[in-house]
Amino acid sequence: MRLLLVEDEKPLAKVLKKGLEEQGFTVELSFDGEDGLFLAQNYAFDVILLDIMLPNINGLELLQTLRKSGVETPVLMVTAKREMHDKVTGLESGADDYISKPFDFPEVVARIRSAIRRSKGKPMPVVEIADLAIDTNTRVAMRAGQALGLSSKEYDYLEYLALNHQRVVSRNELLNHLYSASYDFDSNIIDVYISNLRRKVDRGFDRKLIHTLRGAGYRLADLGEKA
Amino acid sequence: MMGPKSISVRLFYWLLGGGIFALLVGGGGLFLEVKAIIYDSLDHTLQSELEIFTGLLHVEDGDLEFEYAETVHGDYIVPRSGHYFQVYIDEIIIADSISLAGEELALSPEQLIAEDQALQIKTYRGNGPAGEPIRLMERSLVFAEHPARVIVAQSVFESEQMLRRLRNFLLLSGIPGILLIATLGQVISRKSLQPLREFSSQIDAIGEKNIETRLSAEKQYKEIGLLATAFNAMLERLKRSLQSREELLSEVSHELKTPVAVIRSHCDIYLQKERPPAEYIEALEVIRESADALGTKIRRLLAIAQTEAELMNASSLEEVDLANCLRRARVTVEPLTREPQIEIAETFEPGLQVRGNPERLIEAFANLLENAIKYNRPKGAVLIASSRQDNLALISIEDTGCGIDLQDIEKIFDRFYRGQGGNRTDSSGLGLGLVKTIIDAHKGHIEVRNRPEGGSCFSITLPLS
Repeated sequence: MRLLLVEDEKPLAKVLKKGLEEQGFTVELSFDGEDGLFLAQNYAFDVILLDIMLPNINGLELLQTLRKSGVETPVLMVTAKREMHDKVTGLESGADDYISKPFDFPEVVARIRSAIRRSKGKPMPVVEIADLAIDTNTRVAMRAGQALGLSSKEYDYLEYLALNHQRVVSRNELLNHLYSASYDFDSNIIDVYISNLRRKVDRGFDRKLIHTLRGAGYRLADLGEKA
Repeated sequence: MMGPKSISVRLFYWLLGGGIFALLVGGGGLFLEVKAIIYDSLDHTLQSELEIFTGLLHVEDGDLEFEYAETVHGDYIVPRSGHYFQVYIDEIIIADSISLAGEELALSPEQLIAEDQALQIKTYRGNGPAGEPIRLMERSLVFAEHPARVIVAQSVFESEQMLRRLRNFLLLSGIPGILLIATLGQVISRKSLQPLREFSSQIDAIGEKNIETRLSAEKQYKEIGLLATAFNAMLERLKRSLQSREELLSEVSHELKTPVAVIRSHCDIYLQKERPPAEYIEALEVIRESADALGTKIRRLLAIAQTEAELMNASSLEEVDLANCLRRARVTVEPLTREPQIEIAETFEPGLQVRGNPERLIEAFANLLENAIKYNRPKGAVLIASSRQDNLALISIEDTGCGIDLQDIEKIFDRFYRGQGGNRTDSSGLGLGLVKTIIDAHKGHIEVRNRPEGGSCFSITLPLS
């Protein structure tokens, strides 16, 4: 999952980036409103963590501009201010949630995950596709009651496919959402991860869940195909 | 039970008192006027009768005689008719009216009402032959070398009865009059205070939430308009103070919560899994920095709050000699000048006195001097000057340092300004925010500019006492 963090307090931004990356997020960092708005409008993110007090453009303005330009990415507002009207304005301007500083990091992570799931139409923390169950809180995937033993990156692939299981996910989309923009990638890496996933998820089961659609991308679904 | 004094009750009593007084004066005046008219006309009649009777005295064959013929008619011949006369010569009655029926008209000096010296006429009160009240007029004269007195009298029984009736009527009509005045007084006092009640309910409706509301000073009664203007001015002051409190709280909560968030996030994230020691050291260093920043902010806030509270207290203010203050501030920073070899020069105008708290003023000046030394170049100079401009004292502190970034120059007096060069943590100074707080509390003004030849110049004005 690709996350945009807009926060001007550098020590806080840096440690949050580190913590979120350890939680499997791909984090883009922006220290001011103008830059944050540019990134949010021009790159695909699964969630945006937005501080309200920012240099150049404040968080509320950024959010309003973003929503006006049609970007529907879930946004979590972060602020140290205590004014309720900021909170109300934030939520009315299209923020999905609101976090007060200082915050509890595990709670922030849970709220971010919840916001992402809700935006993909999956309000419950455990996403199920056929006999495959993915617990987005503990980052554990099970099939038919058996843990699959995925690496962190493999889990990211599976979670992304699971949250978008109604449609085909292109290779480009996977690159955009699972890797940092600064990542100097070799797109073969996707084939490697998909083939690993397929081995761990589908091997030994009678139904095939990971499908490759030539020229289009991948889809995680029970299409009745035998493994 | 004594309630608070009430304007409407007072107004009511004044109106009632005034009304009763007006009734008394009016009624009494009317009564006296009518009485005067009646007696004046009576006296006028009596006087003309006197003239006539005096004219009836004549000398016949050496004897003094009174010509009855003219008077033996009308009321004078009806016994006890209420119209009488009597004429004395040599204190012997030589003539009297038949109406007296032989009685004598007695004059007692106690019953004298008026006396006309020129005409030799005296007016008396008395009783007639029937015991009725009468008014008598006596004229003393010398007739043919004999002392003579002519007395005429008329009953005032009817006049007095009429006046009694008038008095009773006036007294009786006074009761409904007073009741009417009382009612009117109540209505008037309530009516005239109605705008005040309405105004009060308008004020009642204003609270912290709608402090923007202003009372209309137009379309009001003049007195209420004045009150409205005064109230609006007070609301404006309140609003400003609320706003600045609001801003301060918001600023403080942001400034304090941010370093706490940094500390808390580091703890949360670094505790999520075991890490190599180098990572912990890195995290702890950030935590220490944030804790320091937090400590500095708290210290500044407390110092400012304490200073504000102290300077609010008027008893802490005294007459302060500015030059003395500046000199003492200089002494406190002298040790800082040695290593960078900074020269401090001073030009003080003597005798400048301000009203203030000397400790705090020294603290403010010392803060500025410390900055001027700290942000100076080695072997630089600091110039302290004080002078008089009208009723203001002008203090300037100049340095030969690098000056202040233009983008910082406006924020430099903010409570949480971090000092030049971003996160430089100055350990001793409490910041320019405190300096401004102190100068503001002395009704002074502080500003800063960069000198064209380099360095910065802080200028302070303080009202002279």
